[in-house]
Formats: sequence, structure tokens, C-alpha cells
Amino acid sequence: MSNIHPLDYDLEAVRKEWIGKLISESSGRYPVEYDPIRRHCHMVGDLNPAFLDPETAKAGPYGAVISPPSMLPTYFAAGGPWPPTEQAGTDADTPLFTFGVPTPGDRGINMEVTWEFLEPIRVGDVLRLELRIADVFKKPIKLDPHAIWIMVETSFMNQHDAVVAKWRNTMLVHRSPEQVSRDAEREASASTEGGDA
Amino acid sequence: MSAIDYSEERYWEDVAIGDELPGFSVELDATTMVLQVSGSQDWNLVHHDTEFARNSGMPGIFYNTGWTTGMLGRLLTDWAGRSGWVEKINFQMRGMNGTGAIVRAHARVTDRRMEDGRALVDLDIYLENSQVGITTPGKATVRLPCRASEVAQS
Repeated sequence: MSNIHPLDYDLEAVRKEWIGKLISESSGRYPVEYDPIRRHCHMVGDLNPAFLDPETAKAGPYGAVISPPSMLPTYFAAGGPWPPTEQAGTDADTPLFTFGVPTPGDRGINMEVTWEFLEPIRVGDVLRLELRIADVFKKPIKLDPHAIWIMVETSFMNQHDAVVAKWRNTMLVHRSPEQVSRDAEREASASTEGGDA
Repeated sequence: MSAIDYSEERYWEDVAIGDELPGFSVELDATTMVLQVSGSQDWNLVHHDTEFARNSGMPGIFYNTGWTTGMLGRLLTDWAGRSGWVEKINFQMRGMNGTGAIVRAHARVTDRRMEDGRALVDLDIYLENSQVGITTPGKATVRLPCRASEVAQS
């Protein structure tokens, strides 16, 4: 949990330290498997046999069941569900939305996503990823005038070191309304002191 | 049973700028909410715990990025045919999709071009919510097989 007061937050120092930094080189705990693909497809009512039916897929252009391009390769390249939790036996201390970048708030929303799909991902493939911080900037939202935006770029590789997908993600990290109210008291008193000076 | 014949090819030459994709709709009920967590393995509380979502300043739980990507991905792969390949998807999450709404995935062809020997189609893609309008506008590029290439190879 971050909870840095906005008055103590040095955006330029954060940018200098974090932009371009390699954050993660996670490897898949399991190979790409049939059943997570089935669950992904059933989530959105997708009945495409290229993703669901091994026999049909074997005779198709890729010779095997492939992952739908929209299925986040993160699931295969990382260690389990997101966010990491003690309940899932994964590292519960990992920062949820910020990738470790300091921020005043600790609540996150995904704002913009770009995927490039370069190679088919087949059942049995073993994926790994490399994630870097691409940008950190401040842009106010209605809920939080000190909201921080974090852009990350991730490459996904298979067991042959071929880049199979690239992902660019922009995450908005904001404070909860409760934290905004709490922080506002100090901001108000700082403003009053500044006005008196 | 699906009305889509997934064994059919869609050829680049048969696509025209302005074509509308058939698309599909999904009703967001309690089952859909559970399926988005199962299918995405996104355990973030804002997507299934109403109290936590409200405490975060949200009107209620909202559907996650994995689900959003899956909806747009299905929209494209349902249309792209047997050998079609989704090269790129970009989208912005400008509004939230929450329980009780019906969300329609739809798209329109905006360009048709050749690039480095690849026959490409560009599209505007959308998720449109029955309660709040378009929540997720985006763009996509799909590579399709080309009749001319098949003739040249034969």
C-alpha cells in the first residue's frame, strides 16, 4: 500500500528512477493448457473450434489448438491469478497496480490497452515475459486531482525465444475517496500557511 | 449451436470499407460476472465485490480488462474466418460495464490495404452498453487471406 501524501510526492524523481526500468522477467509456471483457454472462451460465449476443439484445430491452419489472441498471455507467462494473493499461494507483497512505482494512491483502473499478436500461441508452448515501465505522469481525474498514470510495455516470448505478443498498458492509480478527504486536511492547512507567509 | 461457420475463409478481396461486422450481445447477469473472474483469473475485488468497488469510488462492480479484451477478440475472430489473424487491438476504457446491462460488440471496416505483402483490414471496434452507451471504443487490424496470393502460389 502506497499512501504517500501528494505534498511529499516528487514526480520528477519517480520518473527519473522508473522510466525504462525492467520490472519483471516472469516465466510461466505451466505451459499453455486447454482448460484455461476453454474458460476464457466461455467467459464471452466464444465457440470457435480453433480454440476449443483439438480435432478441428489439428486440421486447421496452425495444426493445434491456439490461444485466442485476446486471451491475455500474461496468464500463461506469469505465476497464476492476478493480483497475487496469499490465498493463491503467490507473492502477496507484489504491488497491485503500480509495478512498484511510488504513487499517492493504491486504487487502480486500466485505461488503455494495445496488443500486437505476432505468432500463434499453441497448447504446450511455454511463455515468458519482460515488462518495462514506459512512462509515468500525473493527470487529474474527477475522483483524484493527484492521480498518477503508469504506462508499461511487455514482450511475450515462447520457448523458441520468438516474440509472440506485445502489450502496452496504461494504468490509472488513484486515491480512495477516504484518502482524498484525509489528505485534503493537510493540503488545506499547507495552503493556509502558504497564504499567511 | 453457433450460427457461424468457422471453417469458412474470409478473403481480403471480399471486404469493403464501410462493412459492418455482425457482432453479438451479452447480458451481464450474475453468471456472466462469475465467468469473467473464472475466464480471466483476475481476482481484483473491484470486479466482484460491490462493497469494495463502492469504497473505491465506483458506482459498483465493473467488468475487467480480460473480459473486455475477450469480447473484442471474439468480435474479430468470429468474423475473420478460418485463416484470418488479428494483428493488433487497441482500446480505451472510457466507461464501465456493470451488472444489469446488455453489452453489444460491433465493428466497422475503415480501411483495406496491402503492407509488406500482408493483406490487411482496419476496423473501428466498440463495446456498447445498453445503459450508458459506448464504453470501449477502439481500433483493430486483421490480416486476411488473399485470393490473388493463392492463385500466384498454385
